[in-house]
Amino acid sequence: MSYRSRCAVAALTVLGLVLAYAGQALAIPAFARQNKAECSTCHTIYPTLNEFGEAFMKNSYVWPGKPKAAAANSSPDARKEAMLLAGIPEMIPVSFRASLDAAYDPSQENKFDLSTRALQLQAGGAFRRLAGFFVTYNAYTEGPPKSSSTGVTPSNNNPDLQELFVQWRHAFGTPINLKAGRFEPDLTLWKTSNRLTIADLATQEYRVGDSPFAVGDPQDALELNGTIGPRVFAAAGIVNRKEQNTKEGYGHLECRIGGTDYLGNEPEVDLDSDSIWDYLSLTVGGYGYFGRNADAELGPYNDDYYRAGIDADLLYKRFRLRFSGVKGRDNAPNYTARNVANSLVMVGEAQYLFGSPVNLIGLFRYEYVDDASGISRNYIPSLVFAPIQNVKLTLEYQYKAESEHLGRTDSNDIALLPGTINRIGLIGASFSF
Amino acid sequence: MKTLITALLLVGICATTSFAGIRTLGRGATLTFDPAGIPPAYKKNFEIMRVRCVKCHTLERAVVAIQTGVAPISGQPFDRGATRAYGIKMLRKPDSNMSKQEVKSVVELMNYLLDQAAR
Ligand code: HEC
Repeated sequence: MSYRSRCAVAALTVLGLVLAYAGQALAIPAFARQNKAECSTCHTIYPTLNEFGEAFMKNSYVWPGKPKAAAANSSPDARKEAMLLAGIPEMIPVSFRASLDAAYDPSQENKFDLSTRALQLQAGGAFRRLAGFFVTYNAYTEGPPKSSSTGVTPSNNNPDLQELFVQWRHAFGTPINLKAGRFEPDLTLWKTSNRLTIADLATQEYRVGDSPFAVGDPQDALELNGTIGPRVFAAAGIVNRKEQNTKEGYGHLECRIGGTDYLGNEPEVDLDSDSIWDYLSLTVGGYGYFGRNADAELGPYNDDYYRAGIDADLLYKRFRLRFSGVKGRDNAPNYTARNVANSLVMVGEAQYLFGSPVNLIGLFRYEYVDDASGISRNYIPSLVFAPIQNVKLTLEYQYKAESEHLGRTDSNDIALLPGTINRIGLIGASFSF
Repeated sequence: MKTLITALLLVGICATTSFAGIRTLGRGATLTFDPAGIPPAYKKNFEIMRVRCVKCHTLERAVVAIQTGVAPISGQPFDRGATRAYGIKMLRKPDSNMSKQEVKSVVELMNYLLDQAAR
C-alpha cells in the first residue's frame, strides 16, 4: 500500500470513529435543550443558520413571538416557577463543539496533517425575556500556524475567550437592544461561524499589512441594535481595542424581502395559488467600520483605516447564493511610513441542498482577495454532509492562485510577480453536544 | 355532602373526557390520532398527514398541539387561526417534500380536530 493510500485509510478510520461516537451521542446543545427543539429549527446544516435561527439570534436568544403559554391541562411546576422568579435558565445552558480537521497540502513538508483539532465551549440563553447572553470559549485548539495557508486553523486559534456578551432586550422599553462585551460586531450578514466550509469567508478573515484588524474578529464593544419594522435591522457600535486609546466605530443596515421576517413570522403564502415569493427571499446588508491602530514597537505612525462592505443572501427552495464584498483603505498598515493600502475582497458562493435521503449540501465558492500586498484567487468546492443533525462532515478542496504586488506601473495597472499555486484538500468533522 | 362530591367528581371526569374530545392511540413517539375516530370525509386528509407529517418528527407534536391548544415547542396558541401558519412553516422547510394541496388538506383536518377537541 502506498504512503498516500495509507493516509487515506487513516483519514477514513478517524471519520468512522467520529461517526460511531456521534451516533451514540443523544445529547444536543444548549439552545436545543432549553427550547426542546431540534437543531433543524434554526439550522440547515449546523452551524449555518436558517431564517428562523437568525430571528432567534436577533431577538436576544428569546423565542420569537409572545411569551410561551402553558398548555391548558398542564400541572403547575414548582421548580419551573422558582427558576423563572430567579431569572435562571431551567437547564445549565452549556454545550460543546468539537472539530477535527485533516489537511493534505503538497507544498508542506508534513503533507498530510491530522493535527488540527479544537474543543469549544458554548453557552447561551436568556434571563427571562429581559436579556440574552452568549459565550464561546476555545477550551482547546491546535493546528498548523495560520501562515501555512492551509486555511484549516481558525483565525482565533488560541485557547481564549472568544465571545462573552449580554444583550439587554428592548432597553428602557424601547425597541433598541444594548449589547456589551466581547463579540463579533454586526458588520456582515453572517457571523463567522455561520458557514458550511472549513475555510473562513475571505471578506471576514483578510488582514492588511501588520494591522490586527479583520472584519470577522470578535472585539470588545458596545452596540445598539434593533429591528425597524419586521424587515429592517440596524446596528451601530463602538469598539475599544486592547491597548488603544482611540475608539473605533461601525454601523450596519440590512433588510429582507420575502422569507421569514426578523420577528420570526412566516411570509404570507396562498395555499391555492403559486407565487415566486412563496419560497424566494433576498437579504441585503451594508456596513462601514472606521478605526485607528498603533503599534509603537513596529513604527511611529498610526494606521487610520476603514472597511466598507456589502452582502447579499438569496434563498430559493434548496438553492442559496451568497455574495460578500468589502473595500478597505489603510494609510499606514505597517506603521513605519505613510503608504496608503487599498484592499478589495469579493466572495461569491452557490449552495444546493440535496436533502433526503442524504442531508447533503454541495457548494462552490470563488474568492478574489486583494489585500494590498498581493492578489489571491481562490476556488473552493465543498461537500457538506450531516448524517444526523449535530454532526457535520466536510470534504473540501481549496485551489488558491496567489501573486504578489510589485507596486503600481505608470499606467496605474498593478504589476504582479509570477504567482504561486496552492492546492489543499481538507476533511473535517465537527459535532456538537 | 357525599352526593355533592360524587356529582362534582362526575362533572370533573366528564370535563376531561370532553376536553380530550378526539381519540388517540399510543404514547410519546407513537402517539397518533385514532383512525377509527376520523370520519370518512377526512380519511384522505388523515392519510396525507400520516405519511407527510412524520418525515421529520412524529405525529406527537400535532396531537399535543390539538389536544392542548398550545404549540408544544413555541408555546404559541394553536387554534384555527394558527393551523395555516404552522402548515406553511412546515411546507416552506427546504426538504419538506410537501405540496400546497397536501398542506391544505392537513390544515383542514387540523381545524376539524380542533373543533372536536373543543367540544
Ligand atoms: C421538513 C421537516 C418537517 C416536516 C415535513 C414537518 N415538520 Fe413539523 N416541525 C419540523 C421542525 C424542524 C419543527 C420544530 C419547530 C419549528 O421549526 O417550527 C416542527 C414543529 C412542528 C410543530 C410544533 C410547532 C411549535 O412551534 O411548537 C407542529 C405542531 C408540527 N411541526 C406539525 C407538523 C405537521 C402537521 C406537518 C405536516 C403537514 C409537519 N409538521 C411536517 C419539521 C417538519
